[in-house]
Amino acid sequence: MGGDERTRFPAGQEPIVQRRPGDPRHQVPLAPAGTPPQRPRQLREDDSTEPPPLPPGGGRRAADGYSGGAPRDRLVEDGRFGELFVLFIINILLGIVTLGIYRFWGKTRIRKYIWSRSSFRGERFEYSGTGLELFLGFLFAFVIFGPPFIGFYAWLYFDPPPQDPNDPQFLARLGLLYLVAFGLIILAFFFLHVATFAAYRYRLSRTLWHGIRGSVSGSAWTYGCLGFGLSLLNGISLGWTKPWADTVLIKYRLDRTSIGSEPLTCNIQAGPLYGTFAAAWVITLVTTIVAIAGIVGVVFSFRDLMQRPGQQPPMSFLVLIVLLYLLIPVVWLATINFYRAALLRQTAATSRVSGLTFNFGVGGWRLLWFNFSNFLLVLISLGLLLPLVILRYARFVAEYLRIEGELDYAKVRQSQDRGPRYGEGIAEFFGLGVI
Amino acid sequence: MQDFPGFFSDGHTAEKRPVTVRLGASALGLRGPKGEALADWPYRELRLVEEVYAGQPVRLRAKSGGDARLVVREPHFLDALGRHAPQLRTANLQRSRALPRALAWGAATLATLVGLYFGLPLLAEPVAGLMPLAWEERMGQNVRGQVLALLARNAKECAAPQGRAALEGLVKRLAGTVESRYTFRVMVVDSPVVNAFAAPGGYIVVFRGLVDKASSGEEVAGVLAHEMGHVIERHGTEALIRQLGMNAVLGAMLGDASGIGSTAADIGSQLAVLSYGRAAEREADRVGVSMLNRADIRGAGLVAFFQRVGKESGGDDRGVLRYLGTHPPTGERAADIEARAIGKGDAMSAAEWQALRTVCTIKR
Repeated sequence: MGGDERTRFPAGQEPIVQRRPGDPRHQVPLAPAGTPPQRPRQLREDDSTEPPPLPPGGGRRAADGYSGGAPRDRLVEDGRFGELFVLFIINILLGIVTLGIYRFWGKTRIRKYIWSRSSFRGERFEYSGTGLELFLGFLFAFVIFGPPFIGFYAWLYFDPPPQDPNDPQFLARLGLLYLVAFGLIILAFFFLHVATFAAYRYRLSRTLWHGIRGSVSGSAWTYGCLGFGLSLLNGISLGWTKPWADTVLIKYRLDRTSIGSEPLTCNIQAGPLYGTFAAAWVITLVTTIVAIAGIVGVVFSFRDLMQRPGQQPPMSFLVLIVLLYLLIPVVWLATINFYRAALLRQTAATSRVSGLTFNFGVGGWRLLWFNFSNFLLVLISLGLLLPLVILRYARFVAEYLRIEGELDYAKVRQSQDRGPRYGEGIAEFFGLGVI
Repeated sequence: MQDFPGFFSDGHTAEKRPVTVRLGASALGLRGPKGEALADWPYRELRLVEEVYAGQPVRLRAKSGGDARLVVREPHFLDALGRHAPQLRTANLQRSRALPRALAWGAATLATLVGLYFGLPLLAEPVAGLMPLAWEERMGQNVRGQVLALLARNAKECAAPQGRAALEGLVKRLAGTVESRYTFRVMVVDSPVVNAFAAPGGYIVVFRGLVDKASSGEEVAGVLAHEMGHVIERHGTEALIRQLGMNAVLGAMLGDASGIGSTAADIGSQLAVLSYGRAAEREADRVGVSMLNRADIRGAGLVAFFQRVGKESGGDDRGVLRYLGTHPPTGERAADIEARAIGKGDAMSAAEWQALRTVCTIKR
């Protein structure tokens, strides 16, 4: 709904247009008052900045008035950090005032902002969820999951296992503790997958474009079992089933997704993903070998010092050991970005909905820098720049996502599925997701 | 009557069509290009899809309008509409009100924090009363372990049998004067620190430094009675509950459900010093003195100990400073104790006192 201001206003009515500094439409002169509409309205799909469809027989795009408009094949993101930051700060303050209850309404407010500042073909997205839905979802999850977890912490806190190894109950109590903790971790791990799916479904059912909402069929419980089983398999195979497992999960989600009456399909294959994954895996393995060799070497070179009784190991020794040890996860987290980028590219390239096809041309280095810089921003600002990171995500998608093809708007009907009544309870409980 | 150009989607298909929006008497009229009526939305049913910032389109729905949406780009539209539908005004952010809003919420936040800071501790006492004895004892053992690890790492327990017997006899005598659910267990730790502390559930620790500094059994009895007072009044338990409650509330506020877990992890470490605050110290004094009175032990010992330790603290004896830091010996407290203490007898025989002084000759 950006502005082709020329066609908007009836004759004689002064157009009032606020153009921000930097708006490329500054190049486009406003129509003088009283100029009649230059183009019949029925040519436009909507009130957008979208250029009109190409005339029959191809040829150049009509340049008049659209030179500053949004391109047809990508999302346009015009959120502003200042506005989002104010929302973020007010959310923190209100969160304190209401003992955290406001969080759900605050989150909704941020989502409404982000959604409405992204547009595709001139139409802004809409987030139609409410804070109450999120709150009720959380209460629901809390009633179910609260007692075991809070009970466990209360037990640990008020009745901790004996510290004295000579205590006759020592082994029994400690064993019980580990058993219960293990059970809770398994439970949490399973529900992590359930929550991922439920949150995806809720968000899509509350996302509107052209007044049409998305929907997801399928079962969160099935998805939870699938995700849990595949995670176990990934562990057993030392990660080598991960690319395949990821495609199974992505397909499960996307193949059950619809935009209004139009089903989305995804034909992602695991084969093309194995190159980047194998590279990340092998590089991490080599790093692990080098790091272990390094640690052995450091211990060896300091062994004279260590053998003296009562000698504390020098600081440099500990720092070296820790750095070598940290090298392994750092290298894995860095190299896996190349796999993730390939996964994003493949997912987009193999998905389609109605007449639309997708492309997400992000490279590994770009994704690595994007994730690393976001991590640094949050770390250095102690979380205060979180709104900037949220905005960067939206801009990142706008930068790389390409959507080609034509939609017959009259043919896309509303989804009959209104989506879940309450939102994201389990995800909220486990603290998943920033926005 | 004023007309605005807009776009309407009916919520059944993705199609959008241009409409003329007319501000009627009681409803918003949406008219198609040929003047046909597409919808009439009563003003009170109107809702904004999201808050409207400067330069952004106004997007509307009606409560009974299902998924139908209206978009109007004209910035004045919302102001004009606000006169008919006042419920939309709060979501009109076309003119920034960020600063006054942030200030108002900042003030409310501060008020809440102050309220919590003073209100939450009041809950600790009733909650502590509900805790089962077994829990309190287990927690006490844990706290004792952590405080010892902090104040006297690797220190051994003093175990000379006669010395222990003298101390235990004294504790038993004092404990016999009150009805309480606690079993008092006392240990002496071989450390020069001049201190003693009571962990929840009746676990009392006396450091060797305190026995060394004391000049009579009555002084040790005074300190013991005071620490037992802390246990009986559940000061340690209440402090832990306060801490846990505060962390849980702060965790909830800042949106971190795992806050409860990390609190459990650093249990006791922040309370390791077990400073109770002035009111709690006075209460422990009161209970301690009444125990001394009923056991007929001279209460002057406690006062004398305070005064001598206070004088010596001019030097740089860290152990002494530590005791004073956690047990501030105000003149008021000393006077209070002196006024109440009516006991006349000894705390223990001379032989027992000698045995207690050499309790650390055997360690384990």
